[in-house]
Amino acid sequence: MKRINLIFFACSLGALLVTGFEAGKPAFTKRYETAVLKDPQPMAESIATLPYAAEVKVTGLQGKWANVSTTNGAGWIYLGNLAEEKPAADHSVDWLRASANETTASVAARPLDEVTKEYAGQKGMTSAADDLQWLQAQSDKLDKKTVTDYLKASRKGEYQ
Amino acid sequence: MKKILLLAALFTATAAFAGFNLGNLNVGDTVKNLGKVAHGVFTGVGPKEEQTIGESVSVEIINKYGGLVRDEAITRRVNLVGKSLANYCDRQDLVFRFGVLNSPSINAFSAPGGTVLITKGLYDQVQNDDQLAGVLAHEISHVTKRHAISIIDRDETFSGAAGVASNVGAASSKADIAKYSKGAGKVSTTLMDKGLDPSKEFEADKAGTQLAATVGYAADGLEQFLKLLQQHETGKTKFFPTHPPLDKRIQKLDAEVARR
Repeated sequence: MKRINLIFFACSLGALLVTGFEAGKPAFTKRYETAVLKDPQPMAESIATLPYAAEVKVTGLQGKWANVSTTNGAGWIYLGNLAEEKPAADHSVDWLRASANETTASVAARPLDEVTKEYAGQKGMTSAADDLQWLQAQSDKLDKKTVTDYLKASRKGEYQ
Repeated sequence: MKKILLLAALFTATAAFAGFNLGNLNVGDTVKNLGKVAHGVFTGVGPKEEQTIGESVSVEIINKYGGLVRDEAITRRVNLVGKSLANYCDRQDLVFRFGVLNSPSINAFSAPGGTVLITKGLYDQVQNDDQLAGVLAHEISHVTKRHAISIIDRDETFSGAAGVASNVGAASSKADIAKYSKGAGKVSTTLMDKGLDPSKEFEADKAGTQLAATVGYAADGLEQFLKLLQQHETGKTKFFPTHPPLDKRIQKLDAEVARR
């Protein structure tokens, strides 16, 4: 029992040192939706879903996971899905929802902003604007699933 | 009710003055949002404006640093590491993209809105993904903390109504284009010529280190890389010229990493 307590203490200390989160302090969700999990592992059962900028109370830390209490009960959230400070811009919610619902294809198909084209044209930088358009297309080939697969394969994020 | 009508009238006048297209405006949402303006929630540059200005700033950086390296394998690697970090950053309302500039110098930039650009010289020097992640996490932190966009945050042209306009759509008029161009020029000059305030660089070092460590990269990735560069720095050669001196950054990072 003592050994388990010691391991728990060591993990908590490790989490505290990696981030600024502390037991007893509040934290905030930063995604459009954040799942509260039954156990500190990515495939654990979800016991609640919190909206953007929801406040939770951190009651403990284990590795890079926070045990949190919410109005729906206690559970676990990966520290990378929490912010220490409340997300400031409430107007981000609409934008976030739009981004979350946007398909990769629609993102990839989006051209540069008209202002950017105009700006580049006026300053003789159309070649640089073409480069930026190329970069956006290349970058957007990596959709959420590809990034998640990469995180899993390289044991990063909540898959550590 | 009178208060709402008064606020609606005030908004219409403000939006018209700012030159935004009101064609797609949802009046119900606008009145709701207007309440937020009145209570000070909508301040500074909204996400749409930030993205628009960021694109123009990116064009300036790409133009000055020799264009982009159009190598799909390199771009994919930088984006995989960068997007792994961005997946857990504090601004999930942005789409982060990562590119390599065709320049032998060693430097890195982040444009408002989420475009991060590193030079080929820097890319060739990083020895592993931990060091690359350290550099990219530093740049991501500049964006999440709104370091560059805050240069124009207090500019009255973009305050208040600009936040509401983020829900309306892109800039459309000549006045808008002139306004955005002015903002982009101001940010570009600061990023490429003057550099950000040293306190913001140190803040990004700290926040980037925290982000990289949380995601599972070595907490000292950036410090490792800066130490590597320090070995090659001479009086004539200066790396990260728009950033504070390497020794000062290493000293602060060392304390930060040791604290972990």
